[in-house]
Amino acid sequence: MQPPALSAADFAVLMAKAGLSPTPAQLASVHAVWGAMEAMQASVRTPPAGTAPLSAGAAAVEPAVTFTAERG
Amino acid sequence: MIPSIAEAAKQIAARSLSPVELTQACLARAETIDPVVHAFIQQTPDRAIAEAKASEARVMKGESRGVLEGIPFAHKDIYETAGLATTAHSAVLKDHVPKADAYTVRKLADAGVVMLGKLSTHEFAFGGPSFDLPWQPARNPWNPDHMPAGSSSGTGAAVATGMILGGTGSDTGGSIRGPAALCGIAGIKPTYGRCSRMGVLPLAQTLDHTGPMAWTVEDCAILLQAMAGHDPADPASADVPVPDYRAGIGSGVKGLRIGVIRHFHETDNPVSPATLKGIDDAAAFFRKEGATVRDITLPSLAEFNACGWIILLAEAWSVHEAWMKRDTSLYGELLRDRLIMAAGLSAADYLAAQKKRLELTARAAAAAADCDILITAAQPGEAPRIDAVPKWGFLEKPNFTIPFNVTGWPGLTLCTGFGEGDLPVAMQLVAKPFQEALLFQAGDHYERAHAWRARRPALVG
Repeated sequence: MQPPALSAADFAVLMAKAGLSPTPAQLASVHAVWGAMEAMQASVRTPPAGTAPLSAGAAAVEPAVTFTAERG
Repeated sequence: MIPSIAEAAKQIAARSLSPVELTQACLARAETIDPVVHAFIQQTPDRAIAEAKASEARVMKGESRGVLEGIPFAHKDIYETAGLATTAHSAVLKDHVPKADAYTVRKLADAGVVMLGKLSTHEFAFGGPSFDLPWQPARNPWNPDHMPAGSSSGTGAAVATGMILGGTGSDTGGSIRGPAALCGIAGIKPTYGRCSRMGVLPLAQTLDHTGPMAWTVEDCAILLQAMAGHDPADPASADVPVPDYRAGIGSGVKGLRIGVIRHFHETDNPVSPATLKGIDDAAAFFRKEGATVRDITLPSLAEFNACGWIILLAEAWSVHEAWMKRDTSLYGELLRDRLIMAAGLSAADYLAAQKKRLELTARAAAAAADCDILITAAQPGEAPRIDAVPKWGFLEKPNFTIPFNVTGWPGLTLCTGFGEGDLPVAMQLVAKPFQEALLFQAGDHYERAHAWRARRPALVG
C-alpha cells in the first residue's frame, strides 16, 4: 500500500470538516492506509486509455457524466 | 442425510417427510453445532415448531403453499422481522424490533418457509469478522479456526451444516458470493433490482442486492423464484417479469458461449492453486459438454474495486453519519474505522466514481457482448484463519465480486472442490442482467456432474 500524500495534520482537518473527532490512535490507524484511498480517488478520475469518453448519445447520459474539463 | 430443498419438497409433498420432524432435526443440529460456529444471533425454536405444525397441517389438508412449504429457513439479521429483534449484529441496533417484515421475508413466509431465527452478519454487513460486538462472529463450518467470509457469514455456516436448508443474504461487494464460496455452498446475487430491498437495513443503496443462499444451485433457483418480483416500495426494484428459474435445469450447456475472465484470477489477483484448478476444470467441463469457451478481457479488477469501494464507502457514510457524529463508541473497531475513512471522501469523489461506473459497465458490456456466461473466481483461495484477517484487507487486494455490484449483473457462486486444509474452493458464474436462469442452468449442470455435494462439514457428524 502506498503511503498517503495527505499529511496527518491535513487528514485531521478532513475529519473535523466531516464532523468527526477520532482519537489520535483512530486517526493514525486510518491515516496509515489513506494512501490506498488516494489511489482509488485517482483511479476513478483516470479516463480509459484508447477509449473515447461516453458520448452524448449514450444511454443514461447526463451532463455530470459526460462533461470533462479537458474537452472544453 | 440432510436433504436439499428440492429433495425435501418432494418428500413433504408425498407426505413421506414431516415438516415438524424436518424442523426438529435442524433445531437438534443447531443445538450442538451453533455453539461452535455461531451462525445464529437469535434462534426461535418455539416459533419454528409452531410454524412447522401449521405447515404440516396445510400439507395434510392438501393446502400446501408449494415447493417451499415446511422448509427450515433463517434470515440474515439485517432483514427486518416484525416483532423480532433485527440488530445488524451491532450494539447500535441491539434493541431494534421492527414493526413489519421486510418484503422478501414476507414473500418467503407466504411461500411456506419455517423460520428458525436470525443469522450472524458482519456489523451492518460491512465490519467483520469482529470480536468486539455483542455477539461472536460466525466461523467457518469446515474448520472453525477459519473465517466463513462475510457479510452473510451466518447464512453460509448455517446452510453448510444443515441447521437450515436455505437462508437470505445480502450482497453489496460480495457478501453472498464470498461466504457461499468459503462455506462450500451456493449463493446468487441476482441482477440489481431483481429482489426488493424494502425492509433490509442498507449498506450502500446503489450497490445493495438481496438474494438467497442454499446447499445446491437448484435450491437457489427455487428460493429466488420466491424472492424475486417488483416492489414499488423499493425505488430500484425492476418491473421485469420473473421467469421460471428452473426451466433450463437439465438442458445442459450445449451452444452456450462462455467467457473466462482469466486476467481477473491469474494476473489482477492471482488465486490459490486449488481455486485455479477448479475454474480451469469447470471451463474444460463446459467445453466438453458443448459450450464455446474463450478468454475475454474486462476492465481490471483494480479499476472496478476503486469505483465500487468509493461508492460503497460514500453511501455507507450517508447511512451512518448521524450516528457516527453522535457516538462512535457503539460501533466495533472495524466498522468504525472504515466509516471514519468514508468520512474523508468528497462529493466529487462519489460523482467521479458513479461516472466511472457507467464507463466500466459499458466497457464490460462491449467485452462480453458475444458471451452468455462469464467465469472467474469468487474468492482468492481457501478460507484464511479468522484471527489472521487483515483489518484493511479490502484495500490490499482487489476482490472478484464487487465488479458485478458495480455493473449490477447477476453472479452465482458454487463449490468446485476442496483445497489446502481440506477447505472448499469455488467459482463465480456471471450473466447479463436478468439472465439468472442461464446461471442456474449451467451451474446445476456442473454441480450434478461433480461429487462435491456428497460431502458435509465434519461438524455435522
